[in-house]
Amino acid sequence: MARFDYDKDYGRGIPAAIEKDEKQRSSMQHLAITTRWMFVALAIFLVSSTGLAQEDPTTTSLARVKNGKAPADLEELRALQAKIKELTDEILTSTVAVQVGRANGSGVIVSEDGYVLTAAHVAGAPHRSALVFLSDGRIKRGITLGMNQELDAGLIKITEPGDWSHAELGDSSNIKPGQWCLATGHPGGYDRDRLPVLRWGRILKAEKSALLTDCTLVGGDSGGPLFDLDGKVIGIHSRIGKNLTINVHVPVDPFRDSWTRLAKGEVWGLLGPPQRGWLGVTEDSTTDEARIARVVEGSPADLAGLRSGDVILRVGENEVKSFNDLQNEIGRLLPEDEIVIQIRRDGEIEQISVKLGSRPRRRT
Amino acid sequence: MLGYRRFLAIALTAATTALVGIAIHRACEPESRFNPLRLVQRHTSVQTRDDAALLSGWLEKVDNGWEVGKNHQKVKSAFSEAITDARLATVRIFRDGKPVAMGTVVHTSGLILSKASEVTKPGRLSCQFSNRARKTAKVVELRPSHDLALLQVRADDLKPVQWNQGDDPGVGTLLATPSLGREPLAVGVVSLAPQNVANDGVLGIRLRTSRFGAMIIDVVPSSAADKAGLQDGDIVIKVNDQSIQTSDELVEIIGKQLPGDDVRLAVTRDNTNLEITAKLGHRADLDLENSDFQSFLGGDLSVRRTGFPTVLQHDTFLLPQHCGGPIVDLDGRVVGINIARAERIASYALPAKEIQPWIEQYVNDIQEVAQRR
Repeated sequence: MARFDYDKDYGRGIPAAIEKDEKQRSSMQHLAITTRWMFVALAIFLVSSTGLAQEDPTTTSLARVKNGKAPADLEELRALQAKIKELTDEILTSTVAVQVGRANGSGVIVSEDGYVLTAAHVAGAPHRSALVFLSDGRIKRGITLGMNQELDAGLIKITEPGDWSHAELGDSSNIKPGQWCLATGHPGGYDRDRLPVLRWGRILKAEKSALLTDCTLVGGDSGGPLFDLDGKVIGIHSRIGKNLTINVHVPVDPFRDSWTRLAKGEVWGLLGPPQRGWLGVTEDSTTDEARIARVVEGSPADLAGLRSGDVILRVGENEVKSFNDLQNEIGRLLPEDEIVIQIRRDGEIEQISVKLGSRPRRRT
Repeated sequence: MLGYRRFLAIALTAATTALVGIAIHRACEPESRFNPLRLVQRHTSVQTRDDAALLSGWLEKVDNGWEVGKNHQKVKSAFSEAITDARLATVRIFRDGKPVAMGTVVHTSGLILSKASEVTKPGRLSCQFSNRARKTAKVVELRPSHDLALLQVRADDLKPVQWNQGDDPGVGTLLATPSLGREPLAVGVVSLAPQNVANDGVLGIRLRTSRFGAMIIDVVPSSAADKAGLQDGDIVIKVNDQSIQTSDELVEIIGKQLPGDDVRLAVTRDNTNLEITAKLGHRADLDLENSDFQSFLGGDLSVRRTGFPTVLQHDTFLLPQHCGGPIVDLDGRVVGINIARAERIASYALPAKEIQPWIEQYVNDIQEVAQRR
C-alpha cells in the first residue's frame, strides 16, 4: 500500500523532465566544478605571482554565485549573504513610495536630480502631480513624465530641489536565468512606520520585454526596483500571477533606450489584456487533421475565402497537424498580422493570405 | 416585493463579490499597513502583449519545478549543514493522520512547541521525529497572545533546540526552515526588522455601495455582525452616529477600531430603521479560508496571521502546515519559530527572545509543583 510520504509529497508537481535534466546535468556539473577549481587555482596563482598574495575567500566564493549558479556550500552562501547585507542599506535608501491621484505604488530614484523609475500603471498619465515618499520619511513633490504602456514602464521626476541618494542603472541585456537578485518596494501600500520590504530570489526567465523572478511581489510593490548583486537596478516590478513564482518585472534597458521620450513626457504603447490573433473557424472533431467545420460569418477566415471542409496544413512557416496546432499557431500571432495559410481543398494544395482579427466580444 | 428586489440586487452584485472579498481584507487591516484593494487588482489585471509568450507553459510549474529557482534542491542542499542540529529538534505534527503543523523540541522531557491554532482543533495528535519515529502528543499549555502551544510526548531523552542568544538577525540574513530530512523545506531572507503585527477589529461582512448606500451583501457566519443580527440587504446609514454613504466610508471607520470595541450601527431594513450594536471580533476568528482574495495572493495563508507582539518578517515560501517549527540562520542558530504564513510575500517568525523565557517559566513551574509533591 502506498504510504503518504510527506517529504516526497511536498515536492509533488516537479515535472519529471526537470528531474531527469538534473541527472543528465550532473556530469556537466562535475565539469563545471572542475573548471571552477581550475580557475580558482589559476586566480590564486596569478594573484600570488603578481605579489598581491591576498586571497579573499569571500570574493572567490561569490564569483560563481554571481554568475547565477546555486551556492555549493555554506561558504558560498555566507559570501552571498555578506553581499546582500552590504547592499541592503543603499538599495532601501533609493526605494521610494509614490502616490499619483488615488493610485499608489513604489519607485526607485536613479539620478541625483531626482528621476524616479516606476510602472506605467502607477504613473497613470503624464504631467500629473505626484508625491514621492522617501525611505527616511520625507515626502517630496514630483510630476509624472512619459510612459511606455506596452512594457509598463513609467517615469516620475521629483520637482523639489535637492541631491537625491540614488541607485545606478544596470544592464538588463545580459541577464541569465539563475542570476540572484533582490527586490524592494512597499507591499500593501506605503506605511511610514515601515522601511521598504526586502525580498530575495533568482531570475527564472529573461526576455527583452520582461523578467520573471521568484522574488514575491504584491499590490503596492508595482514600480519598485529589482536589483542585481552589484546593487544596480535591472528591473521594475509590474505584475504577478497566482503562483508564487510568477513575478514579472520590466527590464531596465528599455527605460535607458527611450530615456529622451520618457523624460519629454511621451506616451506610447497599449496596455491591456493579452491580444491574440483570431481566425474565425470551428473544429471538425470527426478527424485528427485541422479540418474546418464552419467558418464564422464575417470573420477573417470568411473574408479570406476559407471554407468548411478545408484542411489547414501550414500557418506561415509552421506545419499544422491538428486543430490544436492551428489554435496554438494563430494564438501566437496578433490581430492585424498577415499570414499565408496553406490548405488542402478537394485534394488540391492552395495558399491563402489572411489578415487576422481579434475575437469579437461575447454577449453576456 | 422588496424581498425580491433585494434578491435581485444581490444576484447582480455576485460578479463583484470577489473584489469585495478583498475589501474585507482591507477593512480588517490597520489603515496604515494595508490599504488599497485597488493595488492588488491593478497589479494582477495588468498584462502586456508579450505575457502569453513569457508565461506559456510555465504557469503550471510549482515552485520547486524551477531548475534555477531559489528553492531548487541544489540551493537547499547548500543549506543542509546549517540545519544539521535543528532538524533533529524538528517534528511534524499530525492530527488524525493529516500533517497540520511543524513543532520544535524545547525540552528533554518531551516538550514540543507549536502553533496553537493549528494543533488545538479536535483530533488525535501525533509527532513524527527526524528518525521517523512517531509518538502521540497532547496539548499541555497555551499562550494565545503568541498563538503558541506546548505539547507533551512521552520521552525523556529528546534533544532540544539551542535558542539564539544574540541579537535578532538583521535584514538581509539568509534563513532556512528545517524539515525532518537533510534539506530544508524552503529558504528565504529576513525582509524587515522585528515589528508588531497589530490585531484588528472586524465585523465580518461583505459590502457594496448600492444606490441606497453601503449595503451588506454577505454576513460571515458567527462573526461579530452575525451575532449582532445584521443581515444581507441591510443598508448601513450611520456608524457611531456618523452618517455614511459608501462602503469605503464604513470600511474606513471600522478599520480604526480594535477587537472588542462596540460599534453602533444605524441600518435600514425593509423601510424600517434599526439601531444595532456589534462587538468587533478578531480578524483571525473569521474563517476566510475560502474567500477569493487569497487566491489573489498566491497560496494558502495561516488562519491566524495577525495579532503577534513581535514578529520577524521573512520571504520564505511556506504553507500553513509548515509553521510551528524552528527557523535557522547560516550558523545554525535557531533564531525563532515560524508562526504564520502571512501574505503572498511574507512569513512570520517569532524571535527566540519572545519564546524562551515563557518556556523556562513553564518548566520551572512544573518542577516546583513536582518538588512540592
